[in-house]
Amino acid sequence: MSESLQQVASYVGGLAVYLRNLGAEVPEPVLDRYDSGEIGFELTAELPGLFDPKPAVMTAQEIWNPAAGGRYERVEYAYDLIDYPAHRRRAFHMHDVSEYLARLGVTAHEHCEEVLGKPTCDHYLGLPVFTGYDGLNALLAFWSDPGSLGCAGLRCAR
Amino acid sequence: MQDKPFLSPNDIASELAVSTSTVLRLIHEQRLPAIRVSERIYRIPVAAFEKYKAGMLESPSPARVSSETKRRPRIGAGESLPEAAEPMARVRSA
Repeated sequence: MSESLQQVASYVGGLAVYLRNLGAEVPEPVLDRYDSGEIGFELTAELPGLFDPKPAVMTAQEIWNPAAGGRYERVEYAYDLIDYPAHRRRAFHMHDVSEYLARLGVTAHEHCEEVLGKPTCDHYLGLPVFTGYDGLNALLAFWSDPGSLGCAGLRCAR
Repeated sequence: MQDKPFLSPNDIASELAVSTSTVLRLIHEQRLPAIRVSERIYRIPVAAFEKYKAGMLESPSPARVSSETKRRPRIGAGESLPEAAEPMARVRSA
């Protein structure tokens, strides 16, 4: 699906407000222009709640390629949750697509660490995340649940 | 309430003295921020409910578009690429 520059800017602003309204601290978002002709952004949000040893942090990065008619298509993303108070990590990624396709036969992968910094698998097979809202909401659902992240139920890609 | 980081629609209903279905309607109309855990389960961060009660919820506005060009970042930088999967694993994942 392709979007105009203004639509992408509205989408990015919407993501920031979505997180802020949930109580997160999010700096003013900026839609960047890159030397490659692509556009993209990186949002970092400090989530509310426990701050020990520091707050849980969520980041969203996306890169959009120019498409026909002056529009753009989202081609890479990374949505990451590092839950410092619970000492765990969950992430949905799509980048280096040709490499992952060649090596694993999939475009998207995931990260899951029940204990932060001690993954039992470096990459889990993943399904593409349709929008940033989907990715962030899925990570927020993990963040809001003190139970297991369910890493053992994912398929390790090695 | 402050020691509980998340509230359920039932908690909110009690706090506002309205029905749970009213709270769910507020969530579905995106007037009350909530985390959708599943089709029927929502969690509302206390901080979000405080913003709602204080009338401090923000309306979306477009991000600023940079007028400058910067170097393209590499998403996944620092992450090692996986080893190639076994042929059977590739077939199963297709």
